[in-house]
Amino acid sequence: MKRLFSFEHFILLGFVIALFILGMVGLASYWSTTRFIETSWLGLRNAEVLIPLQSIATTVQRAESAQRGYLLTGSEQLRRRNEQALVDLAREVAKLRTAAAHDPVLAQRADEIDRLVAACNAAQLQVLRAYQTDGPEQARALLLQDTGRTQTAALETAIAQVVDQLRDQLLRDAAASRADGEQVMRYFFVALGLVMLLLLSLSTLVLGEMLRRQRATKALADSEAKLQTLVDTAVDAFIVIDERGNIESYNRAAEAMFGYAAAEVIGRNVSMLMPSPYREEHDKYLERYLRTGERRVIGIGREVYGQRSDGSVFPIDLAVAEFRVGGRRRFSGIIRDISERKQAEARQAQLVQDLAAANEELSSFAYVASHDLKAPLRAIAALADWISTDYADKFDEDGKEQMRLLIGRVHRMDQLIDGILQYSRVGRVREESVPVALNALLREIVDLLAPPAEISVEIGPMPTVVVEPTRIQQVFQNLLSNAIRYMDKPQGRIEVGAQRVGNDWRFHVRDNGPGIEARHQERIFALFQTLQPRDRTESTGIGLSLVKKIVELYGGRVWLESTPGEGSTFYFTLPQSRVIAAVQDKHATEQ
Amino acid sequence: MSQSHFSSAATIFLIEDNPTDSYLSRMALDRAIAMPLQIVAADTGERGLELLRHHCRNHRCPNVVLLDLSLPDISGHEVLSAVRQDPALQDIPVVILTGSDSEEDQRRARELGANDYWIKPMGMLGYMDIMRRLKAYLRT
Repeated sequence: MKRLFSFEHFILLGFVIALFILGMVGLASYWSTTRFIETSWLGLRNAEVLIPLQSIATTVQRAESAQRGYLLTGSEQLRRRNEQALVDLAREVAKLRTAAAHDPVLAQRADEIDRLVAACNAAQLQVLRAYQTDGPEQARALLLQDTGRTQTAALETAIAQVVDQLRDQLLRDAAASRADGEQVMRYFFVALGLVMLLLLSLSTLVLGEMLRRQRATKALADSEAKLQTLVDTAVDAFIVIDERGNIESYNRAAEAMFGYAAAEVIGRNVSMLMPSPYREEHDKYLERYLRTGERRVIGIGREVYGQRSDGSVFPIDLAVAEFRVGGRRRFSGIIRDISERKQAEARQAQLVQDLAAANEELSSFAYVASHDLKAPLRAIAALADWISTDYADKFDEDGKEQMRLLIGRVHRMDQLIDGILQYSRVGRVREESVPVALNALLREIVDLLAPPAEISVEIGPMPTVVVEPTRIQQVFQNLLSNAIRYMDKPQGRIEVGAQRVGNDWRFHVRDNGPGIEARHQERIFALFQTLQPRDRTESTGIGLSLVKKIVELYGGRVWLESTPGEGSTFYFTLPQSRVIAAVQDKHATEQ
Repeated sequence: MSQSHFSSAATIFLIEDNPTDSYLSRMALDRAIAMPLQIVAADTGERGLELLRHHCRNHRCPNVVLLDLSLPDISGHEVLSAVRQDPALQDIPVVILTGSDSEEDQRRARELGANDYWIKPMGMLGYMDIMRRLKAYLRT
């Protein structure tokens, strides 16, 4: 998610605010200091005014007292002292005017004091003149009028006023300056507090973020290390390429598989790991995929070929996935060397082919041999018949018996050959598989076998199966004819049924005949195997082998359960896929 | 049958490479059919066809051809096919007499126009029986 302000923006803003506050504080300090300097300077100037003012006050008194002394004593020394004081006074007034020049109000005051000083001087001069012209009496009288004293008092008052005014001014300015300073100090501390607070929170945030990032970086590094270990220790080769087909990543398994070190292939085109014509077409293919999105391998995976550094070509299983990092497409390929699997497959295919060929050859051999055996056998049979017919009067009883045995053996051999022919046909000669309704088929078989009256054959509900009709007939005919042939009970019962068991259909032919001992149960399915002397049953020993071969050809199995003396049940299975119609729900009983 | 002995005799063509089977067929014919018979035998397919054409041209076509399927040069099926495609021969009844009980062989023979398909029997009685069934083709 994108925020309006990133963390970095936030921190920057914090610093800008802190700087702004510091700037403001600086400005305020500058302003305050300037004002302080101004105030101080003014105070100093005003203090400069005070000094001549004080001198003026004392000098006026000094002049007065010298005058009075002179008037009383007539001492020339005192008169000179008076004159000197008056000179000093003029000088001090000049100083005052100079010091007060900077301030118009003060200048005005100075003028006023100057005037008052002049008035005082004038009054004293008047007294002095009166003394010198009219004598001491007149001077004293003038002095006693006290005009001079009044002048002096006015001057002292004016000076005191200016001094008071200046002192007030100084005190006010000092107070104002102090207040300013305190105000600025308060602002300064508040601002400083704010800035410190701000910086503290910013540094806390930055530290927190740094820690978080450090942890994330470590976690990422851990995760990357884990991933790298995973990729490096993978059994399959793992290669990442960019959009142009240049190799970006190449693991150890790839090094071992292709014979190139990672350093030799990183940055080079992945087509170097492919044989022709893939090598030439890979760039075009990649370009076409990027342009049209047409996939051949990406997201699908397939078996192709790789080429090792030594030029050898080997089959690989390639799975390619696409991913994006930073807006750029990349492709990762997981590659498995399937040479061994391919070799094994080829070996297996060869074995299967060899086996099929051997089987075919054997079947053909059995078929051809049987056919070729039949021709001379036919001749022997016919000729033996003719001999025994045409030369009947030439044979004695032994000769006739021997001819009969000879002919019997010939027919027996014919049956055996027929059995082998049938057996060799299973799986070699294929009929079309069609739906066969087993109930109908079984009734036909029973009709054909024509069991004796004392044997009952009960056929349960049977399904319809899709098989070669001849083969399924051979299966049931052999099982039923065995049951009939070996029946040893006065009331023979044979029962045929079918039942769905899991994914198979299980068929059975049950009889109450002699049963078969457990030790023979496996053996009876072998070719040419019978359990009774052949002449007695006329069995070829091929029937059950044929049943087994047919059932196994259809993916089923055959077995039996039997209790000697009580009977046997032969079972065989057919896959569910062979059964198309459910059981026909009617019972047929053949007597 | 009122005509001269030779010309009235029914003619049977026997195309069979196995001399013993040929002998057995002749023996059975001899004993099963009590009428004058002319038997012409050929032991290869080509020879059989050649004799057939010659016979049809110079005398008249045989009453029936007994044809084995397994022959050394061309197969009985090919002989049958040639007979059925030859305007001079196509009407001759052809009966297959073979050791093969293959349904495929039987189906092909029927498709090519065989009149009958008999499997060589085991024993004299079987042969006699077959030759008696052959009589049906000898009534001219």
